[in-house]
Amino acid sequence: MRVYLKNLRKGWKGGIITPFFVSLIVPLMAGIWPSMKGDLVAAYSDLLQSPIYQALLGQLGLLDMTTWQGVFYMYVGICMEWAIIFIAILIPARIVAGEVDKNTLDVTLSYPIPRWRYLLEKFGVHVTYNILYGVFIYIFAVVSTNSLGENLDMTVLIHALTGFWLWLFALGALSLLCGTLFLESNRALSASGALIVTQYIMTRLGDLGELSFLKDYTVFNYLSTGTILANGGMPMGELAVVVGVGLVALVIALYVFQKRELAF
Amino acid sequence: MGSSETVLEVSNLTKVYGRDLEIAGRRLGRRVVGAKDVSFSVRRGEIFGFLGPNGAGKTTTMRSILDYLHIQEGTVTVFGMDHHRDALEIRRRIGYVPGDLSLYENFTGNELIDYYGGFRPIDTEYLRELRSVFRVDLTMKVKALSSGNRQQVGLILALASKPDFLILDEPTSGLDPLMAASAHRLLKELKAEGKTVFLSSHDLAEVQAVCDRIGIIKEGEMILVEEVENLVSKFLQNVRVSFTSEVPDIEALEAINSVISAEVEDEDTLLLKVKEDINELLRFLTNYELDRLSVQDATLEEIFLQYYQ
Repeated sequence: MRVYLKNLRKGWKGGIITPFFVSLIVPLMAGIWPSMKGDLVAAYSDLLQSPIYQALLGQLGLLDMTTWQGVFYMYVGICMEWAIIFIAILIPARIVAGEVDKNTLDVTLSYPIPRWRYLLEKFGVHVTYNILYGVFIYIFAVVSTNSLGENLDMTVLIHALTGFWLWLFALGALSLLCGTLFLESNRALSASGALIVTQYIMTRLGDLGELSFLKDYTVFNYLSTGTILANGGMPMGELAVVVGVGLVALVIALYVFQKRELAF
Repeated sequence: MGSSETVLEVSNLTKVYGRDLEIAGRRLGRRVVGAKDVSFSVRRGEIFGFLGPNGAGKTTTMRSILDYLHIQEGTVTVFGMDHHRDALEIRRRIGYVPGDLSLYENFTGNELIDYYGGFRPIDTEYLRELRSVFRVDLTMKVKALSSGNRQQVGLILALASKPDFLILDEPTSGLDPLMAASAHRLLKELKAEGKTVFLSSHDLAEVQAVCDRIGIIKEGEMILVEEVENLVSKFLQNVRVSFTSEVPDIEALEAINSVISAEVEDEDTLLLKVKEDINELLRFLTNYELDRLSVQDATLEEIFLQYYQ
């Protein structure tokens, strides 16, 4: 656990600051919600009937925008989807590739630690800090909802935040796999970007209706906030799909890193 | 020599990077031989110098020994264990300083010692000695250190566990002469304790000062493995001959097998470079009247250049 604990301590600034700033969307929404209520929300709801917006927002576009819960999930959902895309592309792919770029692996791997374990512990740090997105959003949601005197189903919220975290895990594992395959930041980031953005585009195209089959092959189609809200909790089948994708990608990434030649 | 005395055994190591690939007249890939049929061994308690110019295959060989690179042919054993199958066990007993040393920039020297010390236990007594020998401030973050100070941190990390076998790729690169001398002293002390060192260096004076044997690699092939002492006394000698009357033809001298080169220093003095057996030259010189004759061992640098020219 040495690699995990040391990197957890050394990475606390980035690990805490980023989730904190992303979570500020909640108090921001709470700040403008009182002035949005009424006519503005009604006009906004009409706008969201457009097929383009429906495609862009997916199931989030079907939420009742006249309620705090509807607005909360739509904005938090969109914000987190985009945050997850950027985080999953940029961070896990560079866990190995970044070290290769800086040439720090040479010394580290001369010590008696299996490569797979080293990678697993470093990925574990990333996964651990990702929990903070949920923690900060939950805290801000409780405080904001109470101060507004509105209602928000906190059980569903916990499930939705767990869904975000599992997306970060599964997409992060795919990105990590790209890092171990390409071993160099530019190529690893390009590959993980292509893999994750393509999935997102496929999900949005699938929301248009005619190409709905495309969604079945993307992580974003499972455990989405809209599905969790509609389901009133965690759809266990979808949870298994996301966790399964993440675990398979992680195991392959660990295997590749353990076995591959470090010719750089 | 019994296998228990051999720490590193490299047999017919061959490493090839990439492959030739040409599509529609465009070259898309190229096969590069990093090391070809390299064989040598390093005995327990010796310092083995590994010489060769940039791109000769030194780092390829070292990285292959460490199992970073997958070799196509040959075998590598360290402490009698296979370098690939038993890589973890081997790493418990080695210390390594890479040629292009990079450390985590946000760690201090002390944090790095603590971090890596968890993987391979540190000899605290020896660490105290290392701290007094190397004058780098271990409370500073690596990013604030000069390259020479980073190199000192790298050496402390490699030596801190007092490993049985040290693999050092240009270990004193960037160190000032004082620190380099301290590093040499430490290596000799470790050798006296039965530790083994495999080091590559471009500093031939350093190699001559600390190494027992050297191996010279050229274009991926090991062209010489020899005791340093033998090499400088036997392999190449500088002979200065002054004649009282007739001076022999340069061509006639160069026709002698052991004479590598001959040049005129002044009217009656010649400078000769002689390899291995000097007797044939001496027999030839008996035909002439000599004023003075002096024989000096060549430096390792001269020998090295001889092999590369």
